[in-house]
Amino acid sequence: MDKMKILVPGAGPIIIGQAAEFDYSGSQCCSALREAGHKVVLVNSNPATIQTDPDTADIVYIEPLTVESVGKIIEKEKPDAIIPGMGGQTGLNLTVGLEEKGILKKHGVKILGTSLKSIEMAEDRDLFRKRMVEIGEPVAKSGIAKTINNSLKLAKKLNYPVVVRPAFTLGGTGGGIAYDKEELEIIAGRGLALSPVKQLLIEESILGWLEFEFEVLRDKDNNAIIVCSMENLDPMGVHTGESIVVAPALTLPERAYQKLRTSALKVVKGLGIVGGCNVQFAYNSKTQDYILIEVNPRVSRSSALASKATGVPIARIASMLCLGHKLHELSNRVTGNTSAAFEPSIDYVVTKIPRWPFDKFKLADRELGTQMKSTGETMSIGRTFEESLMKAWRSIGQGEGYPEEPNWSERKLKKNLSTPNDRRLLAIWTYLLKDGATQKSIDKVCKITEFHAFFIERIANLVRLQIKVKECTKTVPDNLIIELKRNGFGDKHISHLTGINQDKIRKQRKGLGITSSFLMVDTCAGEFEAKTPYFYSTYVDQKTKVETGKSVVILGSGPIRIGQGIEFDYSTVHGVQAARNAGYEAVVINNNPETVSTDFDASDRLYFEPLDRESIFEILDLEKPYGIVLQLGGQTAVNLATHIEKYIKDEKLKTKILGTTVDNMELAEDRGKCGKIMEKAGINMPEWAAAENSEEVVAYAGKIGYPVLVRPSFVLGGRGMEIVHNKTELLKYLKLETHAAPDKPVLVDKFLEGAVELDVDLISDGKNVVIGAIMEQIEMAGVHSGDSACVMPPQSLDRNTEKEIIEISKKVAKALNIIGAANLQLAIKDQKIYLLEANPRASRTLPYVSKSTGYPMARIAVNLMLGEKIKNLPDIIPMEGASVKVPTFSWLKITGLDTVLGPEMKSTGEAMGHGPNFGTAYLKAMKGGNKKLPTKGTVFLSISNKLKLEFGNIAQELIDLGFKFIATKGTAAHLRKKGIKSKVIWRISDKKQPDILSVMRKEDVDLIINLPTGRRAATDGAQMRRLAVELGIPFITTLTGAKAAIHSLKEGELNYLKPLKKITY
Amino acid sequence: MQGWIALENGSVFFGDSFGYPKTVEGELVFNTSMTGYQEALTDPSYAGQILMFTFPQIGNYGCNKENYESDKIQTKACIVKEWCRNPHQGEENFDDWLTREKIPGLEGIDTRKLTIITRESGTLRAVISTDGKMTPEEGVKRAKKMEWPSDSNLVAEVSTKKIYKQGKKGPNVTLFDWGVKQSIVTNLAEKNKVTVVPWNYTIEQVRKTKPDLIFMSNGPGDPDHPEMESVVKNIKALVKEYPTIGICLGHQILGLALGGETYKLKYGHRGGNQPVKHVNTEIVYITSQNHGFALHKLPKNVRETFINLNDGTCEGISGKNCWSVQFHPEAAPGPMDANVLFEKVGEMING
Repeated sequence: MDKMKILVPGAGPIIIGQAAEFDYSGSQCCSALREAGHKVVLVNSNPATIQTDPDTADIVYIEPLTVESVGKIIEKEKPDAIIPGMGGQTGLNLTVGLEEKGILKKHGVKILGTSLKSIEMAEDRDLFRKRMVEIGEPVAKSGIAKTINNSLKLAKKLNYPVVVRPAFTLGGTGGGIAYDKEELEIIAGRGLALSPVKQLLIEESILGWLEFEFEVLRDKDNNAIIVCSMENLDPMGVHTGESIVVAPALTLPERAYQKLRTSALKVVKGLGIVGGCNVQFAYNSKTQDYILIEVNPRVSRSSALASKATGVPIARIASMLCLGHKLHELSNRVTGNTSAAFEPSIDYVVTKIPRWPFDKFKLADRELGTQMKSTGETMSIGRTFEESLMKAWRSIGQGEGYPEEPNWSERKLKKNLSTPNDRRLLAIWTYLLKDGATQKSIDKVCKITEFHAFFIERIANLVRLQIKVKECTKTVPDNLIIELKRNGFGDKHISHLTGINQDKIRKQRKGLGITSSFLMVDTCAGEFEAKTPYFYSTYVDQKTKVETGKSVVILGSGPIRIGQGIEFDYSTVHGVQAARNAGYEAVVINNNPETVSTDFDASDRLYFEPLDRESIFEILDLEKPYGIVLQLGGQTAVNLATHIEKYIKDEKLKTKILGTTVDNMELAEDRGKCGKIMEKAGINMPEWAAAENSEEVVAYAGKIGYPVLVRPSFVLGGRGMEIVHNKTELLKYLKLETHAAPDKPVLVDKFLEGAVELDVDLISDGKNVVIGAIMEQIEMAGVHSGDSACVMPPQSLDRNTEKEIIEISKKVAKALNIIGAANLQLAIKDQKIYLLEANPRASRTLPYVSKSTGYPMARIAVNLMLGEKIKNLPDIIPMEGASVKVPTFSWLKITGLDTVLGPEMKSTGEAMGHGPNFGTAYLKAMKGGNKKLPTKGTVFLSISNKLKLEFGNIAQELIDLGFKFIATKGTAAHLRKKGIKSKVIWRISDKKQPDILSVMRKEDVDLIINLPTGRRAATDGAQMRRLAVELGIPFITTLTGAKAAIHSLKEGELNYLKPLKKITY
Repeated sequence: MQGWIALENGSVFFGDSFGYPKTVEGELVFNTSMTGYQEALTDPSYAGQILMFTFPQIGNYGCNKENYESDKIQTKACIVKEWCRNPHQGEENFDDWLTREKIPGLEGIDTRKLTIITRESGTLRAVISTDGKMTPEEGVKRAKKMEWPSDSNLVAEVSTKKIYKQGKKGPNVTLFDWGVKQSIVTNLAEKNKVTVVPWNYTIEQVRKTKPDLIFMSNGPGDPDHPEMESVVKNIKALVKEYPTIGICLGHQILGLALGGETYKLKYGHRGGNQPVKHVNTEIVYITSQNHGFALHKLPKNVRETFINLNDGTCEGISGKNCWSVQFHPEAAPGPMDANVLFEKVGEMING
């Protein structure tokens, strides 16, 4: 085969429905293509990915995934071919766009893998239906609607409830189930607005049927295999990304399994898919009938799951198939000597549980449906469903890692049981527990939830065990411990149920010889010898030998959640590379099936395990590693630090905790101790106090002076954090959010209103400190740094201030004895520099800094942890031009949420732009983050009184750029004073027309600038922002954001195009 | 009650008894299919063997009469990690089924470890006891001393004693029952009038069934067994008179009749995920397989038509007016990919 130059588009920023799985697939694709001797050009706007590393592809562009921008890359790079199927829906839509514009044809770019015609046939609801009818496969009764009226007519024919599925949207965006005419009007309206082809599928409801998925690989010669079958626990009606899933299918009888398998192959062949594909079925267990739900003509989240569940590198094989290789020509890399044309047989059970953001979004609607709301997922492997489920519970990283006793009324329990929601599994557990897991309660749960009884029976077995152990108080009999461990009960869970200390439980079971067996994921159930270094633990079976060497264990970050995203996986992978380069065997512990770090060939050994004490200790016992790295896995790893240190000491292990010591990590996290040290070092921190009850909170706030920042201690991503401007707001906060207690104090900080906020990423070897970057937040102070656009280098600092910041950062790093990476949050107010926070770990921004400078910061940090000294590095890492990072939000997916920004993080991902100047970088970042920024048209202005004064100049600049204004009375009056004309409309609360909502619906507005102050203050604003999200009208909610936007409109050069710089370090 | 399995290599695994309490001996083999436990256990090719499932949770969808591949469970015993108490599907649960069929079962066994032992040392002779009537030490001794099941003529044991017919229309197919699976009969009967005959039917007797085609079934044991010699001889003659097709044991017998040799595989192919490639077209089928012996050393006039993609072993041959496959196009249990081969039966008959 000729060596080609191949363009691989990524998936862009992480949003709900399109997460880290596409970093995994894109990275595997790049590695496969390069191994085959081809040259890879990768485009992605998401800097926090491994695929955008200069080592992954030959040429990397961090550019928007728009037709316009990728078209320019094609013009410049002249690739021979493009692989559309690795970048999720974004990659497919982009390729369709490039084809429609004639760009691919013009430059002779071949499409590799599934043809566009096949993609269209799989994704266009109508074409798909027709094709399925042609090949004789059953589909649900349905019709295509292009208007709301159409939809209503169809629904009448099909009978309510009906399922609404917009064409060409990802993660089921805009879809839903309508039970009546009113609901359908709303859902159809939204769906039509979101479907790029303005097309909806209105479908008969098959609620209550079971849902199964098959992951298929097919080559161009029509050979196809099933990699994995998966069974959704939640019945039809809940998006598969929102469902608890097991693999393989556990309740399908042989004949039904083969029927679905045969159908899946027939469908994939019938559509002409080449590469990876996912086929979803609804199945009626009573009649054994099935219906095809949908097909993803590309690798997907389910492929990532199937890949990790079986060990088959799906994306890699799919890439080879796209190149025209045949399945039987490829080898099974797991066994090393069998064929890739092989259907894995597994001898364990895999469970996936989604991770939902409702712990952060307290006001959001928790009901689940056909549209995704989860941000990530965890996977676990056990020898039985019971063990697997309990391990998944430990892995999800939410709450304590076991079914806690919720404080629900009878009514709430029933509701959580009957409607699909994030706590349904807990509701099932709780309901069974209340009733002693009797047969009657099992039957009742089956009836209400429509889960297959197989699963409820098994959950009931676990509940019975819980009841049994709950009766033990002082000791647990040995045989009961054995039974509990075999059923997957965690030490912590047993400790919680009995009140016996977790260490004591561990010692008891270890005394009984109950320690983890680490079994290999080998694709073949032991039939062939395999060499994959991919393991899971079980307490069910005997031990097998695992070969270990001089290793470094690196803790991953678990499921993706708001505040702890793909950035940490990026750092984990870099840690692995550093440890390997230094001559150690790199060992990863993680449980997120979507990521690159959980690829079995990413490390020397992978343990797919919960990130909790029990699992980590068991692995330490086995590995006896040289060192363990806690800095790369986000807060999850940091929170385990003291436990790990204690264990190492107690067990007299020789393992070193690499980098910053645990004492110093704790010091940094402890506001009080940290404050004292910083005071000694001469560093300012805002005035603060820790209150142990509500009265104290109020008292301290008064003393410190409003506005204050209040938050519970020890939280991630600013959960429960709020800025309050007066006592009334504070009392409201205390009522709604948090109750202070002596063991869980509420922190009260002076809020530096109007300050410039900065992020500093640094590395240190304990003596010398190097600043990776100083980043300036673009949103105003008070917006969580993860939600703020930020620019590097800073734009508003003079040279002296910058110098001062470098000095302060060095002082902080030294005061905390940082070895490895750290991140500082600083603020400048009235020329005074404050330290807000010091995080003794790799930060969210580290990949962004690495991509902007070309220096692999995380890798260097791990080198330092391993003892290397800083040499040949300047005080601050140099960079050319400017970079901007903008957050992306998944507003559309989460209903019931206000979209205004605050101290609590809400974004799910980020995009980066780079350019010779700030404006260009910002413009690119905005486009990369799928944010529209109109260059002309009408702007709606709604400015709070407080900000009106500052806004004056901005309005004039917008006029100069050619924009027109509409505004409500107050803002209009203010503008008039400045001599600026605007069209006046009513406020929403005036209940008169036209108000902004109707103007928006009429598409008479191109940009909204809404600058509110305070939270929950303006319900008017919330309604408007929500509608803007749904209609896709760009909106800006901060003054600085508005300034940046204008800046970029003035100086942004979209024609600037440069691949990523690579520094060989 | 506690039970155990003792291997000839001296190792003993303890577990919980289920099914029918008994002490039995057999050759321990493993199957990697994740579903289809009933079809497997009733497949006569497993005669004389103790079947262990590598998938840890067995019996999840209960048991039904319609899933039988013969009139009874054919294995000596069954080993699982865990069987499902309350499947909420099927007529009875796995335990009740084995009990009714008088077959002993053992659960709670480290099936993965036992699989790896089998993989590494080749299939082993074993004794299972679930009735407390033997000590494990005695079990090991007996396992060492026992005959290999394939030393006896298993085919004679599982074959039908009388001829019977199935199928109402189409050409006449005479099917040698060497342990035939019902699905083979059913698949053939869809388009043919099938006469199922006992294993040792003579040439004369076969001629009397007026076959348009001879079909040789699957079956247990060693194709090279002394008592099978006459069968091979008969086939040698019949293949010159009639179009002939074979599956599994039928494939091995055809190979022997055409001048090839058979040998015992280290631990066999048993599962629903065996990839085979059609040599000419490069089409890949994922197939169902269950065999411990294989063909090799074929004479020049016999073409190898299919090969196993995992280990390169022979999976199909074709000679003059005859062909056979090692795998199971009837599946049951297993994937239906190769079911198309049944369409070739008609083509053979029509030339």
